[in-house]
Amino acid sequence: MYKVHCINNIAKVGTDALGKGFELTDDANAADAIMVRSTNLHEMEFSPNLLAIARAGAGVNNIPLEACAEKGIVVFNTPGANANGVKELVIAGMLLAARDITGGISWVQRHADDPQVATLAEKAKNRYAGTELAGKTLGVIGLGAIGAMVANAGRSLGMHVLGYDPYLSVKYAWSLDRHVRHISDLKEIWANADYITIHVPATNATRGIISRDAIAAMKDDVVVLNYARDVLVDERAMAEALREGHVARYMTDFANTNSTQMPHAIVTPHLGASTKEAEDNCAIMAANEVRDYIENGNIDNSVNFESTSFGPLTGPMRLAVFHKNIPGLIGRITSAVSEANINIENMTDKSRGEIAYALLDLGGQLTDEQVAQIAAIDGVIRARAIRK
Amino acid sequence: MYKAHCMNRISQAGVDQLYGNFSPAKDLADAEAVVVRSANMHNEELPKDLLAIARAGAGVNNIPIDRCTEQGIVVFNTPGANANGVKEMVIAGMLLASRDILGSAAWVVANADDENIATAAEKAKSQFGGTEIAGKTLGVIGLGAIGAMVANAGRSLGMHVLGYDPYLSVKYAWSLDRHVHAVRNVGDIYAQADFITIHVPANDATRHMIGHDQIAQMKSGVVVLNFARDVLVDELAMADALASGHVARYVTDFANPVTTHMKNAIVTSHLGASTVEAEDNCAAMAISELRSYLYEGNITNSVNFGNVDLGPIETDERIVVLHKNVPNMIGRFSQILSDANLNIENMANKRRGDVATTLLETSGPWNDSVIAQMAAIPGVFRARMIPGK
Repeated sequence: MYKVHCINNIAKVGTDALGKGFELTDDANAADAIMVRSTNLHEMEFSPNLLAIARAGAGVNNIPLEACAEKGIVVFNTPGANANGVKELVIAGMLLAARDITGGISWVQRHADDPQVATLAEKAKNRYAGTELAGKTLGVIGLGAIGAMVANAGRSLGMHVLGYDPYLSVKYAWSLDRHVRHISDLKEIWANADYITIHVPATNATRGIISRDAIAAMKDDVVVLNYARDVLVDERAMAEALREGHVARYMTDFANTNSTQMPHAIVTPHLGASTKEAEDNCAIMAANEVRDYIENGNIDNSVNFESTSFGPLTGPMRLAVFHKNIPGLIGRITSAVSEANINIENMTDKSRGEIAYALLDLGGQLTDEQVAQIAAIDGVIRARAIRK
Repeated sequence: MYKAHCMNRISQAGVDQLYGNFSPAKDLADAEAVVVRSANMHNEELPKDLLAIARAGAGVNNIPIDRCTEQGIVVFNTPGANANGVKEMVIAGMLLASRDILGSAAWVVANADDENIATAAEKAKSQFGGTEIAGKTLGVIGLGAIGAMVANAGRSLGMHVLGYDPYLSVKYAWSLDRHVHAVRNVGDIYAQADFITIHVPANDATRHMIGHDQIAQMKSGVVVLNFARDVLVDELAMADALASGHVARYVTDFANPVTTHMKNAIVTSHLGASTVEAEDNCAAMAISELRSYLYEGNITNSVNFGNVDLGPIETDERIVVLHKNVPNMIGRFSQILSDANLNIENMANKRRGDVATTLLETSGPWNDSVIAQMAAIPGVFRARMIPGK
C-alpha cells in the first residue's frame, strides 16, 4: 500500500481518484506522496521516503522546488484544472464592464424602501446602460488552457477574437474555434481590440507585458482584464490611463494597494479558481499525477522535472533514477544494469538544470541490493525500482 | 416623401436612417409617421393624417392602442431587436448567481485601504467561492427571439439545456442548437434544472406561471432568472422560497417593493435592453417597419392590425384598407373595384381579433373616387392608395 498525506482539505473525489493500492495517512513521515493546496511547505522537513508532492492548483510559490529537485522529490501542479472557472469569471468581467450592472444593483439597494422604486428605476436606468459584447473585438494574449477557452467563449458570444501566443501548442491550437484569428504581433491587438484579456504565466519575459507603451497604443475606451497575475500589468500606468479615461475599465482578480485605489476598476479577491468544480478537478488531476508517477514512474505536469512517459508498466521492472546532470553518469547507471545481465528495453533521460531524471524499462528484475548499488553511485540522488 | 416625427431622442444612425426615408414633420400634428420610445402618448391628439406609430422597443403601454385602431393608425413594435442585450444580461445573471462576485468586489472596496489586502484577500476569498455553470442544467421557458439565444448561449457555455415552448415557431426552432433538448412538459424543467429562465410575454395565461406549486417542484438550490416581466412570477411565493432557502437565488430585472426586500435576490433596474446596440437595433427596425408600411402597405410586427406582406408593388397601384372584421367587407371592396373597371391582380387579407387588414393590387385606369367609396363603408377605419412603379 502506498501512503498519501493530505496537508489541506483535499476534495474527496480527489483522494478517491488515487484508487486501489493507496491509503491516506496522518503521518507525513510515513507518506510516499503529499497532496497540498496553499499551505506553506518552505519550512517543512521532508522524509527521505517522500517521492512526490502534488499541488492541487496552479501556483507553487508555497513549495521549495529546487530543494525538492535536489532530493529527487517530484513536484506536480494541476494547470488547466481551473480553466473553466477562470473562463467564466472572465466572461462575467466583460459583461460587468460592458454595462454598469453593479451600479444598477446598488441603485436598487439604495431605493429598496421607496414604494415608487419601479417607476423610478425606469428613469434611473439610463445611467447604468452600456454596450453589448456581440460584435466587439476581443484580444486574448496567451492561448493555453484558459486563454483557448476564453477565446472560444468570445466567439460563441458573437465577438471577433484575436489570439496571440508565440508558443501555441498543438493541443490548444486544435481546441480553438477556427474563426479565432491568430495574431503574431501584439500591436495588432492593441490597435484593434475593445476587450483585452491576458492568460500567460508570470515570467521575466511577461512581467509588465501590459506596459505603459502598450496601454498608450490601445484604443480609447478599451477594457483590460487580468485574471492571470498582477505583475503582468504596469499598474501605475494603468491607474493613470483609467484616471484619464483612456482605459474604460480594468477588471482584475488581484487586490493590492495599487488596484484598490484605481478609478473604474472592479477588483475581486482572487476568485478565478474559487469554485467547487475547480477544486474537485484540481484534486482529481493531482491524484492522477501522483498515481501515475508512483505506479509507473511517469511524470506529467511537474514544475521541477521534465515530462516523461512510458505509459503503464508492462515489463517486469522499471527503474527510476534521479541524478546530477554530469558527464559519464548515464554510462555508469546503464553499465550497472548490464553487469546484472539485464537488458534495457527502453530508456529516457531528461535534465532540467542540474538535475536529471532517467526512466529505464528493463527486461528482467534487479534485486533490491543491485538497485541500492545504483543508488550509491556518486552523483545518483535516488534510484527506485517499480516492479510489476 | 411622407413626413415623420420623432417623439424621443434616437441615435444619430437612427436619425440618418429616418430622414433618408422621410421628410421631417414640424411636430406631431404634421406627422404621417411617428417614432416613439417611452414618451407617453395617451394624452396626445392624434392627427387625421397620421398613418402609423412605431415603438422602438417592445412594450406599448405608452400608446393609446384602441384609439389608434379606431383612427386606422397602425402601431408597430420591435420584438427581438433587444434580444442579444437581454441574452447577455441573463448570462451575467447566471454567473453572478453562481459565485459571489458582487460580494467579493464589495469586500475589496471595503478593505481598499488595508496595506495587507493582497494577503487578506487570499484568506477572505473562500467566503465568495461558488460553482460553475458548465455542466449544470439550464431550463429555458419560451423559445422566441430571446429564449432561443439564451438556450444557444447556455449550450456554448457547456450547459445542458432544456427548452419549453408549446408555440415554438419554425424560425426559432431552426436557430436552436440541436443539443437543446425540447421538453413537452414544463414540469420536466422544474424537476431537472439548476437554472430556470423565463422568456414569455405577459398575458392572462402566463401571469404568475411561476407560483407556489411550480416552485415546490423545483430542485433545492435552484436559481430562477426573470428578465421578461415581473408578473410572470408570484413574487410572494418566491420571497417565501428564498427565505426558506429552497430557491438559492432570484435574479430579476424588475425592482419593486417586493423584490427589493427578498433575501438572496439580485435585482437590476430594468437593464435588459439598456444597451446602445439594442437601442440602435430598435430604432432601425422601427424605421424599417414604418417605411415598409407607408411606401408598400406591408405590415410586420404590428400590435393592432394583422400582418400582411405582398412584397414590393409590382402593379399600377396597391390599396390598403384597415377595417372591422365583419362579413362581406371583401365582397364590397371588389364590387367597388369592378364598378370602376379595375381588375384585382393580387389580394391579401389578414384578421386580427375584431379588425382586419386587406391589401388589393389592381390594374386599369385609376379613379380617385374608389378610395372615397371604400372609406365610406361603415366599419372601414381607413382606405389608402399607394401608386406602383
